[in-house]
Amino acid sequence: MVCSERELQISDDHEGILVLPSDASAGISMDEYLGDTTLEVEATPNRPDWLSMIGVAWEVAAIIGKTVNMPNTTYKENSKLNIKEMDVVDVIDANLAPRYTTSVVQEISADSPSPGWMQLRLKSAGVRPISSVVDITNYVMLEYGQPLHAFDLAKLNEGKVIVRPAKSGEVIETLDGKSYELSSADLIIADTKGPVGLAGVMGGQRSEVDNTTKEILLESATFHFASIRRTVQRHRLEVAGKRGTEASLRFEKSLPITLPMEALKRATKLIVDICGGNAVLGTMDTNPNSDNLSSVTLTSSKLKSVLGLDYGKDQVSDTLKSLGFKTTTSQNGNEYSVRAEIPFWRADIRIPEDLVEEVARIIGYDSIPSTLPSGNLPEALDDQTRITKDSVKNILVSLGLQETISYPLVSIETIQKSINIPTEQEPMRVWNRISPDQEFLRTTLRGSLLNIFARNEKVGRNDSIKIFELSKIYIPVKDETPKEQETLLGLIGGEQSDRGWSSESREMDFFDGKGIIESLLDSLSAKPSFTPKIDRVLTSGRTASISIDGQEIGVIGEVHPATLDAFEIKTKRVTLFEINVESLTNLRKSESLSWNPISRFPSLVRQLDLITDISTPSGAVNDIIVNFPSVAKSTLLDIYSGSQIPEGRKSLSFEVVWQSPSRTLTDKEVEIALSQLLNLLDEKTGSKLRLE
Amino acid sequence: MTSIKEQLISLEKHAMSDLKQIETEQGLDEWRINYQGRRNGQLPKLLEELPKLPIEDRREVGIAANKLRDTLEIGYNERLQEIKNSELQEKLLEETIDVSLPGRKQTLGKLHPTTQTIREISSIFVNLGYQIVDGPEVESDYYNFEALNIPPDHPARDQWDTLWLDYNNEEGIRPLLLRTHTSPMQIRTMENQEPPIRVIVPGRCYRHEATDTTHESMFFQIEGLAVDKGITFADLKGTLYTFARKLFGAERKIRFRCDFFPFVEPGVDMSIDCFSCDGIGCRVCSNTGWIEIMGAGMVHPDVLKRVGYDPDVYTGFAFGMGPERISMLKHGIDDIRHFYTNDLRFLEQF
Ligand SMILES: [Zn+2]
Repeated sequence: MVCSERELQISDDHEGILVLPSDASAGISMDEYLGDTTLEVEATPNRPDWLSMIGVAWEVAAIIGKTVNMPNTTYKENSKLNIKEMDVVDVIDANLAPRYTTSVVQEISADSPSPGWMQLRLKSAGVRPISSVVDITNYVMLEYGQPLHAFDLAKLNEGKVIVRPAKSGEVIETLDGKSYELSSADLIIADTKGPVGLAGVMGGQRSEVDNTTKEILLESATFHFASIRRTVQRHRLEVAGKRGTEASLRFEKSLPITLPMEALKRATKLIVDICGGNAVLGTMDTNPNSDNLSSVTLTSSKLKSVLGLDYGKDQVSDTLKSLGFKTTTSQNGNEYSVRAEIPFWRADIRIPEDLVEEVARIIGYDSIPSTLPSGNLPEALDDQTRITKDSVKNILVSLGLQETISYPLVSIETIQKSINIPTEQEPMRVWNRISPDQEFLRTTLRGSLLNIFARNEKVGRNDSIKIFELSKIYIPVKDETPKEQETLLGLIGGEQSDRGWSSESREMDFFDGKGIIESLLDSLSAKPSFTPKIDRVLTSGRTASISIDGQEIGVIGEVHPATLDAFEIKTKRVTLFEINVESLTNLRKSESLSWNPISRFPSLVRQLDLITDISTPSGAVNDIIVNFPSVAKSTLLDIYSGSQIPEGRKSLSFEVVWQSPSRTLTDKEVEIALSQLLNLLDEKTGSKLRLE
Repeated sequence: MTSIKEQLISLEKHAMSDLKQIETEQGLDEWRINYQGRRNGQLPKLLEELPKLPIEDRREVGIAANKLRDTLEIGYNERLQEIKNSELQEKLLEETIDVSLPGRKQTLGKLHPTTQTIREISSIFVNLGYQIVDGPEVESDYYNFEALNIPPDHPARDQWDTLWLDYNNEEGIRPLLLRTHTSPMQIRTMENQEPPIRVIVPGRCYRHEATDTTHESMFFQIEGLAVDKGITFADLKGTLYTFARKLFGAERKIRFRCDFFPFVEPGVDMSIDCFSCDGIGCRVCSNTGWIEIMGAGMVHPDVLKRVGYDPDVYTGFAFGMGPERISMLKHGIDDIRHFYTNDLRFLEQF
């Protein structure tokens, strides 16, 4: 059977069939020839070595208890020429290129493909074979995690590379045929004529190695991760839809400065082995001291203070050795320490805690016991805001409202269509918005909830909608972070009760909303008063401000038909309420809860029929009655205006319960009190007794 | 002439037989007047004859008459009770209802599933002595990144695609962002409090991210932080083990694997064995037998130093999890986008 590489799931290549190189002998199994295991590794940003075979090999070795055979890096330097005499490198910016190593190989033959084993391995790793020299640099990058680049030395003007920041306006044509206009923030490799490579990202076409190349300059360097990252971002560099290149991906993760020379030697060896030619004597290295490996010391007390247990000197030392560290141990009384020399491929080990992790994760976190912290607990917090928020939500839910949670980022229209007074300062805007629907931090919850109302109508909710949200609004403050203010918003509309066999339904209105507010505030022990208010979004004449002790905490009203239209809401009457939860919290805090003793004396009930001007708020009349001495309770039974009473007047019928906490009231006493009450009502509200 | 005695016997007989025929309270009153009425009742009438009897008979007849009076009274009361009972019976019969009709509903709203999950998780930690704290959603680069060991241009920033606010400070840089995680509150809490610290921080977070079944541009996180003398990784394990068993059941096992977050060292992710298949492998756990629940680790010494804590004296652990993910796991919800679309048909199910 003849298959393509894609059919064999070796690679995505399906241009023709897979032709095995001549070193594949007939009769051996495909698995055996290819090597049978592909490991998929999720490399966290701190472990660029997991993007290399060496890094993964050491990891696997430590886990399964084997050792790693490191690649061979020795080669014969056949040339008489010494690289020191060639003057091939000039590094201008040592900050952005802290280490730059090079070697030169002459008289190579670059016109044959790389060996089959190398091509197959490259393909297994997802890299397309190109030519022997390029394949070797890619292969070593995969082995060591160190990107390398090969220049055709003959194509470099004056046979030399210069590592420097680009001049503004310089243009480079990269290997993939694209060209980029550079700025002084880009680090480039140049010759005396101009750019020949975008450092750490991609080589340039002008110095590309081809079939006729005879002399190559191999580069293995350390570039500053931030510089590479910014260059990739600035030019939106991508290959096959993926951000950056294989090289930049690695450099951005900050490669160890100890890595370039090892990789350079390995690549030079493979060039000599595969392409032939003569390696020039020696290598260039702009920072030879960086090969000195640093070390970190882990003590038993550190191990114990972080993990809560101690594995013992030998196990710690052996575990670190299995990962490629060289260790020396010492004992000082009960305390021991393990000095670990960091292997050249690791860039993430800096402090003793890093070694703690190495030891614990290889031995396994299962080895650590489970305990609970034993120290004192902090004092309980005075978190009234949270308690108030929780109570408000609980009460509203028990009153039949559904909680919603919506995006704080909204469109500017959503805010403008629903806010009462457009504020001078624009809401905070997101610089890199995901969509226009999520561009501004909302300064009101109104628009969000009206949108939810409309959306639910559209999906067929046509009996009633009762929703609330308690979330933050973000009030812009000049030159500061916005004030984040907890706000409650509720919307109710539709039928008062569920339609059914036993109930008559009616349209919910202002008073259904007010009833909710009254129940809510009553259960929070606050006594609200309601006075008419104008709000652009709400219907005037059916809107009230909500105050407690003279301080306005919110608003309630029926949403204006024009606003309903603007949000495409079909329900005719939708009542909105909005409460500043923070002022509610403060009011609760200041309030001392007291109670009234239960009177054991009998009460007397009297009906009080009043006649008053039609514009007199019944709430004001009721307040006077309720606050009158010896009045225990007052209930407004009926409101009437019409033919029975004069034009412009209305009648209010109250049932008033009289009761004293200290004695039995006589009929006579109630008569006297009643007439005093009537005088007060007349004086304050112009209400008089209605005479039949 | 028949004797009074005989007449009394006959009267009793008639009266009691009449009584049985009576069906209403009104009829019963008429019956009483007929026999006992003061003016024309049959018994008083008969007794008018009493003075005419010889002295020696009077006593005997008097006793018999009193006895008859009692009998009539008892009969009256018994019959009255019977009539009342049968009237009540009839009335109740008329009120028979169809008990299979639906009840009059007292509609209850529901808390949003995220609120429910946050409360459930919070209460577990409150019982372990943690405080619940809240922090700003508009954060500075410093708190969201730098103080957490994520300097500018750090490759780890790729883990958090950030929404930046359109605001430039005097140096012309954009210092404000929408927090990408609740971890800034680790720094703020350590700055504002002295150890011992035990807090959890439920709150909104934002990412510049295309939404799909498991990603939202706005979501919640619950951060946890404990800092004190002598806090160890073993304490982290024990705390999260307690938490996992409270939330997912006492039989749950947990597993830690290494992971990387710049502000902890060591860093781990915690998984529980799959509660759906008990670790055998199923769709819920993608056939691994394990479900990832959260990231955690020991607070990085550099983070402690930055807030002025001596890492040789104080250690701590931190963890963070997504309530939506936990809610999705518990309820089998397949798409995170359901949470903040606010379709009542979804919300009302929880
Ligand atoms: Zn499962």
